[in-house]
Amino acid sequence: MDDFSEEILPHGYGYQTEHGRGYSTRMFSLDSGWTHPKARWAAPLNRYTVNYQNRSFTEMDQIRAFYYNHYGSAKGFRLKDKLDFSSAANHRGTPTMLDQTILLTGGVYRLAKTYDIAGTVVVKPIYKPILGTVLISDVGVNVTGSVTVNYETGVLTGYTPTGAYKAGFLFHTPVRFNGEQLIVSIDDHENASIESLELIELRLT
Amino acid sequence: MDFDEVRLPERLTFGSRGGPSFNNTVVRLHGGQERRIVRWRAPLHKYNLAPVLKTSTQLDTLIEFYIGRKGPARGFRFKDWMDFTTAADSRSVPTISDVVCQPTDGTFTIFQIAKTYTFGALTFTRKINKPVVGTLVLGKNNVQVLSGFTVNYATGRITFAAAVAPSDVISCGCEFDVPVRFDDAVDILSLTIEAFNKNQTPDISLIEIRVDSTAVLDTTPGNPEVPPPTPGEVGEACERTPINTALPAVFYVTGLPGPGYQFNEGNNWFVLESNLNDLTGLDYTLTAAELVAGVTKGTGVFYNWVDKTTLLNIPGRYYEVMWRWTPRTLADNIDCKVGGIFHIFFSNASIEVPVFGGFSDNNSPWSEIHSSCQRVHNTACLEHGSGQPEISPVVKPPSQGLPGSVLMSQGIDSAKPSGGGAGGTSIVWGDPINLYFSRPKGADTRVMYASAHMLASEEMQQVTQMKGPVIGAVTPTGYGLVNATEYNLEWHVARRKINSTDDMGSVITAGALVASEPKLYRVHMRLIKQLSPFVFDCLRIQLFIKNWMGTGNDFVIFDTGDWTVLTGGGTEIITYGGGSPDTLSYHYAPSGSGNVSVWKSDWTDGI
Repeated sequence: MDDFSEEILPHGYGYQTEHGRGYSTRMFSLDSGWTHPKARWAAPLNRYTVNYQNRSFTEMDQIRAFYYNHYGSAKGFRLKDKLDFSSAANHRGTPTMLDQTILLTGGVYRLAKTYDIAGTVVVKPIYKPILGTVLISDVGVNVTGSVTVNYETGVLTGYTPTGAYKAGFLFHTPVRFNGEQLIVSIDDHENASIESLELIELRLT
Repeated sequence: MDFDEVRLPERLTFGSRGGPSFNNTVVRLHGGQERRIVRWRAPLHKYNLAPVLKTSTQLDTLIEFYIGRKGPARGFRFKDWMDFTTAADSRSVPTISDVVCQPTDGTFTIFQIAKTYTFGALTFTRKINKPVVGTLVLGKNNVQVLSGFTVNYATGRITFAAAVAPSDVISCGCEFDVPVRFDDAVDILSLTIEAFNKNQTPDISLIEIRVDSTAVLDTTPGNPEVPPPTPGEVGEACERTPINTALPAVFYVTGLPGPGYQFNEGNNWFVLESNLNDLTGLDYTLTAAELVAGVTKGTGVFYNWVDKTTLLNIPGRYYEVMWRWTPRTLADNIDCKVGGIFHIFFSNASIEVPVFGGFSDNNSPWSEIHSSCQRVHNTACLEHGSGQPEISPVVKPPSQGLPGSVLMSQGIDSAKPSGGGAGGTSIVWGDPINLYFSRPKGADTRVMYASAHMLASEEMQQVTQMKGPVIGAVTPTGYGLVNATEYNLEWHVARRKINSTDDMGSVITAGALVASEPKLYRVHMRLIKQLSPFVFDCLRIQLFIKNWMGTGNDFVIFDTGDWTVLTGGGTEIITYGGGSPDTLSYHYAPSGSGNVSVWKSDWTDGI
């Protein structure tokens, strides 16, 4: 079984969603009393707690089918993070081809997004660009047509840049369900709610 | 695991929360990457009854049921209201083509029911082990098969007497339950009654259990381990007949501030579940409240309670019987010709019960009925809008009207409509109106001039839950079920042309009416803003009658133009139900122009 599907979590979740950025940090305590924090991750993983309030049974059916088909937490899927889905500086704007510098790691060009939070620069690879939204430029020249974008990995192939290699795109966040159960509450004869559904971002390799 | 083929009473399950649960092991690497191990291919569902339990009666039922199951020791059936049929939407009436059954071995004799959930390109299959007895319909190559197979309702396996061809596609549809047991953590003894009918309800968790498809249910009569089939439902329904005694003898009608009926926000429907199983004798007697004479039977609609969209008459299906209780009637009988569970709703629309301060109060002895269906309310379908008690004095048909128009009489005063525009009538502001009509026979290009606006307010939202589409040529049999469609609409503005593209218009012009395929419609309307008088130009048939106790000569057909009685001539009477004494509905469809209303001769109030 694939551990990731390219499906998108349906029916935009409610607005009371909680977002969190999680780091894994290990503290080393020395005998002398010094502690030495060791950051284990360069890039954080997001967590979400989403809800669906008072949705129609039909929508709930689809969410349930979605849950079944991902075997609960087993399979990852795409989530549109309502706060961060674009390469634009404000995370939600219309992307332009100059938004983000394309990352070159291990000889592979891939989409990435730079977050500069209070001087701390974090570069996150973008694994799940949205089909058809990727714009690519080489020294300010649009070369989108020359580049092959793998929309399932964010890897760019087929083109060797001559200078500043940049891209703009919309993207999904790869996540999976966290927790063991989907809990649906029936509100009335037409509506139901999911009070809380935890999602956790996946680190894809 | 021991399993009792009994279903937790639905009153204890509607409103519960829960859903599928998987068991995966997630191994997270140091870098944040994960490896996830899927331990279960099939989920186990978990549910919690806590949101449902509200009254001590429910609590009693639960405790009895719990003890009957020996706590967590014995499994039982649970209806997941979000997902209990094989239909695509999980709740509609099952059909033979819902799901394809796969053979369990190479002999093509035994097939397992399974349901498929698709999302996008993904497909998930879930085995259905507990189909509901009597609901399974089977198809071979999309043609219904009625014999030559047996269904094991304990395992969800279908066994054919003779092997089918490997090329045959076996499909089926059914309702199903989830096999569950009480969670170990359920501490039934900790349930406490905090106040009268207000209980502290800790979690009552139910956990799905796996069913061995090969297990055979021991249904030996007298086997103490096997309870009789669904006794609880019937017994409970009978227990829940407090109507006999608890209902106050006197009702009052509220909302009488002059003309125009005022909706009472406290309106509620109450549901009574009952198995109606006696196909030959009388099933049930309801007493101490009364059915509205004539109108009651006229508005008694069998509804598919499950999806609220179709009016069908299938054995084993749910129907909703709508009665209206009034101070006058003391008893009525329910007699079924088709067995099945019935939900009987009691509406206290416009009725105030001073003794208990209204049914919406949980202190009412009806509260457990109430709470089991508390969301189905506000469907105040008073036909009478003039602020009078709905038990109305004698109403005569309207005595006047202009040719070419349909008069809509409402309220108690038979002289209505009063006023009115050219060729039509005005409707009292705020009046709820029921209009019954059908489309004339044959092609008809005429349209109704009016405005239909659906779903404007909360209460109407509830009403429109009961709307139904045209359902085609189901020949009604039995007790008053007619092949009809009921649309509950709220009218906002007059003089909007309704044509075939409108919600309502599409009803009106849906298909040609032929004798074998009646199309009757009932529109429940409430005029909330009148900009100009309504004028009906062509709508003709007014009444939709369901009277299962009726006889063949109960009805008189009037021409609404001059209210003369129509007999013969250009009239055509369509009889539903195959003749007396079960003849129930009449429909007049003139071949020419003209407008008619159908009345039951012994009715004392009209529509």
